[in-house]
Amino acid sequence: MKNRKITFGILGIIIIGIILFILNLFVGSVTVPLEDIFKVLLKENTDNTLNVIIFNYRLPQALTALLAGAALAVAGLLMQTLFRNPLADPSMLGISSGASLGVGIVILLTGAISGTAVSSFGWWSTIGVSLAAFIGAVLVLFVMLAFSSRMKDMTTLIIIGLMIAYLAGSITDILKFFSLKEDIHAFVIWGMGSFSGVGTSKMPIFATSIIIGLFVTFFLSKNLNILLLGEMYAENLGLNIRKNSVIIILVSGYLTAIVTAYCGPIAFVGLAMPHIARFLFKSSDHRLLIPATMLIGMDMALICNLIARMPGFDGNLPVNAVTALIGAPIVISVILKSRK
Amino acid sequence: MKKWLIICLSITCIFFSCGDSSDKNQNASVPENENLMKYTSYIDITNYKSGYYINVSCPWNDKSLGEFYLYPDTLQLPDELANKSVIRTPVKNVIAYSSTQWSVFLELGEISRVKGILESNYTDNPEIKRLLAEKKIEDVGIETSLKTEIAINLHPDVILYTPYSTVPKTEIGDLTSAVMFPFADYLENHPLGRAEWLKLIGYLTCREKDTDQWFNDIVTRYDSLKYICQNVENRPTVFSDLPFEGQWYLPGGASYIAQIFHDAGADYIWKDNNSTASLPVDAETVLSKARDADFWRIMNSTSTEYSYNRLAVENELYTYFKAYQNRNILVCDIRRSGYFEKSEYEPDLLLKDFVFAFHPELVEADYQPHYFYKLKNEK
Repeated sequence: MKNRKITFGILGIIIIGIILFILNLFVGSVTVPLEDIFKVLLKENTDNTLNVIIFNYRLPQALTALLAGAALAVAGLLMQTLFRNPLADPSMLGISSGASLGVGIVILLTGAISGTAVSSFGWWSTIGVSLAAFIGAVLVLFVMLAFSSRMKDMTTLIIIGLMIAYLAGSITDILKFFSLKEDIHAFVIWGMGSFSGVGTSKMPIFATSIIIGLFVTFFLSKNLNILLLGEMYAENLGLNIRKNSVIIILVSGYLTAIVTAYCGPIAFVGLAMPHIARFLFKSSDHRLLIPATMLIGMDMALICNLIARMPGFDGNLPVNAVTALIGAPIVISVILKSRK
Repeated sequence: MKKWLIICLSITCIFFSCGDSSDKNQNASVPENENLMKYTSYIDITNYKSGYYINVSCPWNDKSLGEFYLYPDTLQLPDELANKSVIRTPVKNVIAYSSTQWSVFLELGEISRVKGILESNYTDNPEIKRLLAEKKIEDVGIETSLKTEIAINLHPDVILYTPYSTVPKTEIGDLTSAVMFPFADYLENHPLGRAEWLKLIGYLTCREKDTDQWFNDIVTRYDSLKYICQNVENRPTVFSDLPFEGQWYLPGGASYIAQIFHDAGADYIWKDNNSTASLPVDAETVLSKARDADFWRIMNSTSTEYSYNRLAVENELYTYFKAYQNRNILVCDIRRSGYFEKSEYEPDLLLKDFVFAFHPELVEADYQPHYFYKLKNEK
């Protein structure tokens, strides 16, 4: 009976995901008549602009949202289990802050040193920013790995992660303070997150990197389940706690670093999605939770992307403004329902 | 003998000082309350006794940004001005926030009156770089973090600052006896309105005759070029800028640049919009509206040059625009052209660059653009 419920649940989430994905292709600030969309999809359409909008703009954006949502949600789940803390999320490792610092250096410092404002939104801003975010994130990740390989106590590790986040954050603040307002504006915009930075040209590398990371997480479910029993039990069951935490941090950090590099620091998804998965399926088995969290993360990111590009509104809302706006009420209602 | 010397000296002083009574008589035809600024929206200047009365306003609230009186330092200040914001002219120690301010001093040969500037590492101007190296001009930091102590030490009598709706005035005004003067040039939405702010520097340095002449020449050149573009039959369409994080920040339809597009005989795609600020518009809207636009104007503030290949690498969507395919992208290298320093006072050249691109037949064939040139095709 329970298995049937789970199957239906997963199927439901997948169907919702498919509907949302299609809506993401159909709905945007440019209103496209339904019949024209089918013509475009069937390659019958002569109007090239619709083609470009749907295939070269909306499709990569929807795919980016889907992959980023899955990656952040599962990265959050790994962190919550590893640290046995329901408030843990990928930003706890300081990785997002590291990425922000990297971007801060590129956007804010290059202006101050070379006297060239990057805020012209030029070539640097698209390629340099992703690269800087990735380097910043990976550097912090290595620091965290070095600590985690030496330390068994998870609380200490959380504190170190938070301290690194504060360190990176304050350096970023100092940079901001000495920067031109145009550059600060560019930096603030980056910090709001966007699913449109990947595009068709960078999609293959983004998708491959994320899918590899997601694939690896499936092999972690057994060890994650053992971790839930507590460190003592886990050690008695032959689990190498340090090695295990290094691997979990590596995978979670890797996924976060890639998403942050391409989409900016996207908050909330990583924190909230695992809770929805746990409450919906009333389970703590990671063999179920990992795929469920991924799927819910995909759905949530697609909803957010849809709302950010509401028709009748010419601009794109920043992703970070939408994730919590939409996500927080959903999480609250799920929790309230499950407590009844 | 001594007496004679004093008399001679005082006569010379009166003769050369600005706004003196002889000058006043010359302006007798100008009514007392006539606005001396013809194209600006945010600054009014009228004659006041032997000096001037200035009112600076702003678009974000109805209140004035400040009322000021300019009064020659050779004359005794009228009693009623004792408690007002008075700037004695010619000014002696100026701190200039923006390059649009000091560039006028430089052009007038009055740069020695400028003692401090902001954001000095963003300029390529050789003269300013030399003066900075010789410590004749000090760097006073950037707007968000002024080097307050250095600023105080310069003993400024006027600080020309850039007013923003969101940024509160710094404490620097309270720490010195300087008059904080809001230089709101960037708020003006008409190219000639923006250029007319140069006249303020003329009043501050008692060089108003020169700046009047300078500005009138700009108006003549701008208007005559605008006139020949007025009735062009074919008005090419144009749009502007590059996106950041998937979002375009387009100039509003009532903005400065939209006005220049119009005067250059082109149709700006967002001309029906009546905003003066920039519009955040997402890529698919820009694509659907501006894909067939004939021209595309972009700004380059990086140190390397743009190319069609580089644009394609930056964002594949660019290649779908007709202006990209037909190689009709107009680019301005901000640094090399000195765009921020000079273009405000050369709106006629800016206009001519666009006319040269939109209607080459209306401009001499060997014209060399100053700011915006067509991006060259790669070999």
